[in-house]
Amino acid sequence: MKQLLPTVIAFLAGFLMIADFFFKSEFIQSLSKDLQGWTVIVSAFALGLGAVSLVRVHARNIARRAPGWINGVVLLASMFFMIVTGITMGTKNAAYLFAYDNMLSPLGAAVYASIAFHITSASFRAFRARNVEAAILLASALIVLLGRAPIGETLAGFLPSWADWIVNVPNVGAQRGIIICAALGVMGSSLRVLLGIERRYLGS
Amino acid sequence: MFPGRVSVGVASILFIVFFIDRVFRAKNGMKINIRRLPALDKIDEAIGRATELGRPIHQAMSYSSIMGAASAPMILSGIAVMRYISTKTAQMDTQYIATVGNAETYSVAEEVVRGAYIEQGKQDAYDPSMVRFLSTAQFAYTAAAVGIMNREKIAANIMIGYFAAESLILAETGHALGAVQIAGTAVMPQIPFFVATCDYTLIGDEVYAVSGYLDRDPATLGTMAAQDIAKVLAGLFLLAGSLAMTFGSDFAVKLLKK
Repeated sequence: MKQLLPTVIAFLAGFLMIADFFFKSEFIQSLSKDLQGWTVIVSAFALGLGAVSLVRVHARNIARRAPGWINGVVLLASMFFMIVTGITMGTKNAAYLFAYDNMLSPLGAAVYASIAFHITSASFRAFRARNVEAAILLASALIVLLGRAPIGETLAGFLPSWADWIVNVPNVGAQRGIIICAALGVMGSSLRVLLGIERRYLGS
Repeated sequence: MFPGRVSVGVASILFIVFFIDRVFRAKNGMKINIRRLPALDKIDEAIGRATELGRPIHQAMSYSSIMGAASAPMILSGIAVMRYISTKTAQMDTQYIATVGNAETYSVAEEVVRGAYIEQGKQDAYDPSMVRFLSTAQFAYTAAAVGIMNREKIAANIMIGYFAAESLILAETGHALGAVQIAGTAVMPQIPFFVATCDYTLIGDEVYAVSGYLDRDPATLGTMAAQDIAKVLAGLFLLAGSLAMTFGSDFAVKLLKK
């Protein structure tokens, strides 16, 4: 029963959404809309479980004075500050917005900006011409890099058109091949879930 | 029926017919061969290395939702790998850490790992902090996962699922730590990052073959065979459409618009 009931629910919910995609029916559309509304409620409960996990892990680290426990104190204090100010005063109040705009956003932007350095180090390793394939990759990358930069056209007039060809022909062809196969993979994967062949998400 | 979706409906019905046919054939003893996927073969090696070094194996589940239309099938593959790894780590007493940045995915992941430990009779070894919820914010998740990878000095890093810009940061951190890295995604912009930084990568639809490959369950293998038939037909249709277009006929375009 523990396995059967969720599988039946997954089957019915899945096929309702498929029917909603194909058929113009007010009844189906209204059911589908309700179902999508329920997912918000499920997400809210799941978020509660996530918060419990965070508190559990960090409270234990703090109690044991585990290495880096002070970070847990900062995390829990920040989390409760945002929860309390957000719930009691709304998400437009000055304290909440101050923490969001001056702490969370810049920190997120800083982590995002670090990608530039990671791309540089990853490219340095990837573009070593160790074999024929790697040499082709290196040559293509150089043509695209120079072709896209203003200096490329100054160095050699043909570079922008070569870069465009690489980007628009072999690159697009390979990408579409992967996308079509991935789309069929998604269909297969979804059908496995709907028909109860794939049940690992139930913990089985 | 909505106009413009008839062709999709016909193609879907055709796919379901192949699907059911192959599943029944596979269940009735039809032998289905599956090509080797080195990325999945190396998972055991990665677990073995982590066990020998006495360091944890880390699995990043990213911050995407298991309820998202695009992300769900990839995350389900990540969950299949999670089940496999946690079963092995329970058997071998290896440390396992999964970091999750989405609440819905977290609740499923926790249940899967707990179930694997209970199934192996190791419920006492199961620690709720094995599966850690970090943050729903993309880069807060990334920063926290990178911190955990560094502090715990992971021996192996598994990243199979739906990834966005955090993929390269996580993979470069794993590389800097000297961890064995196995990744897989069908998100096009992230595939080159994984190929450049990881030891083994699953590309595109290989990600959806994970559960069949790990289990060798006949029904799942049957569904993969159906996918291959559909791929061949899609390829033939593309070829016919391209040739027709070259000779001035747009029948394929008209057919797809129906």
